[in-house]
Amino acid sequence: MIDEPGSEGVIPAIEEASRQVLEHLGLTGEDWAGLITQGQLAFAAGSKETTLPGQRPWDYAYGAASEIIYAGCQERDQLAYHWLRGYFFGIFKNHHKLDEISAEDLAGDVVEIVLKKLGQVRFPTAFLVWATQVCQNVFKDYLSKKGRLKTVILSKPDRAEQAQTLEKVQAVLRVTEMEIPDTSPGANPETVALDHELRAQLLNIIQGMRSNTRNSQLYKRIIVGFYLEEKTIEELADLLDLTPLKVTKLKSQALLNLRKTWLKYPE
Amino acid sequence: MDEATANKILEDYLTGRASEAEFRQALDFLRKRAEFDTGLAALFRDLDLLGGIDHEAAQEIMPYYLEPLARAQLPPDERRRFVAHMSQCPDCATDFLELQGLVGVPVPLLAPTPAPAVTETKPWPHLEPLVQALKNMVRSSIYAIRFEPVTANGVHETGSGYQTGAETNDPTGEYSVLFEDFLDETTETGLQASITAWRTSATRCDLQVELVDPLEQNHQSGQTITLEYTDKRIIQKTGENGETVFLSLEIAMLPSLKIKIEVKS
Repeated sequence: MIDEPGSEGVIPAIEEASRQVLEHLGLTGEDWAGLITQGQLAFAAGSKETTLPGQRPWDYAYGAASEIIYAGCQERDQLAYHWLRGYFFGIFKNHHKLDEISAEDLAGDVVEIVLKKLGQVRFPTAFLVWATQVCQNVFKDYLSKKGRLKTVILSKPDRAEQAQTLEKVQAVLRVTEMEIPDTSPGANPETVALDHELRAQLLNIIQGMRSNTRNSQLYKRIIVGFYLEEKTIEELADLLDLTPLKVTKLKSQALLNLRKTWLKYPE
Repeated sequence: MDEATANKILEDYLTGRASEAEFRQALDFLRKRAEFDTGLAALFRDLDLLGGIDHEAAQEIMPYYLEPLARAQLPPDERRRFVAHMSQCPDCATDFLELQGLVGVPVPLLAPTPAPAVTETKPWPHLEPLVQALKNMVRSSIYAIRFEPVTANGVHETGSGYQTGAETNDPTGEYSVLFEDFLDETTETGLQASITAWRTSATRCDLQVELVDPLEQNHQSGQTITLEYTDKRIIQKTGENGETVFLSLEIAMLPSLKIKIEVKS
């Protein structure tokens, strides 16, 4: 039952989704009313629907809840801090199975980082996902510092496991990319690996590689020979009158230079 | 310039017999050459720039891609590069799945008062697939599968779930099996279908449809699976292994779910 002023007219699906999201986040009850109420969330979620149509009620409610908590953190609302701390504590304790003391310590660390980096959040509707990623990174640091990583990850995933992971992600991406009205072949995760813009940019960069010194000439020729002409290292060594080892070294240097250029390349 | 000349210039460039200007002209001419694709894809891989972005950039976009409202606002270029990176980078893909799972996992929270939160666990009824042939044609068959609750006495726990290394036998826990069924000779072409729903959070599940081709005529791939519920309709094609996974479906809508398997021989 929603009785807050201004919430009239919110469609029932969003009302229900708001209730579910609050339950999911453990934000039900009077204790959290100072931070967020169901009526307030339903209203905010309804507004989101107006500005970003075509999403699911749950997504509006989740995004709106995230935004409200984000605003609370910005306003230094102690209740928001407290909820965040509890949220991370729950992840460490229940998901990562840490003891209470470690879970509390780490949750405090995450809140500190989150508050410090609050200004970096690009989309407040994704604040909770962003903060959860911070939480994951803190957990990884904790594992590596404690030397526990090797006990958690028994072995590096083999090719088959990596392929399975990629297949699973591709399945997710197939669903999310279906949201885009233009479902041209480029929107298929398997075929976007080399879309025409990326391809053109890379060719531009290869074409524009410096060639005014002996080494830079060799870099360019090795990149062209190896990647465009599909020559082997041995074939290139013969063509350039170098040893295969020298070609391999020059290729590594050429790749480093090319990478730097790409990262500086204007989008 | 013709293609043979352009190719010759590229070859000559390697040994210094073609000038920079000639090389530029030749490369401009050959820009759309399909044979470059493999090499350029390999170059992106060797540059550690899958999809044209590094891991750091992919990690930065990840939370925004996972949240639908932010995802809808991502610039198309950024979104495309992220998708391309994720489709190829196993490390970032692992992080992506971990984060996705974690965001969907409801965690009991610290309450402002010491009283612990009590979560009520509601058992999910056994869902019985009712297969109904909609169309049977010589080269194509369409089947609709509807799930009906037949009992509310407990969760239909039929398997141990994905091997995540986490606790998988808890019927209310992540990746426990909500239901699984094997439909023998579903189609005219003799394909069989295995349908499994895995819980991924308290409210959501992944639904896997796998077509099995006992005659090994490779009919299982590229078949159309349509999932319909309430006002939603999702269409996916089975991959080479005959499998497709519908992700993050609401468990509450399972009884209204209808799966159409359209098989073309």
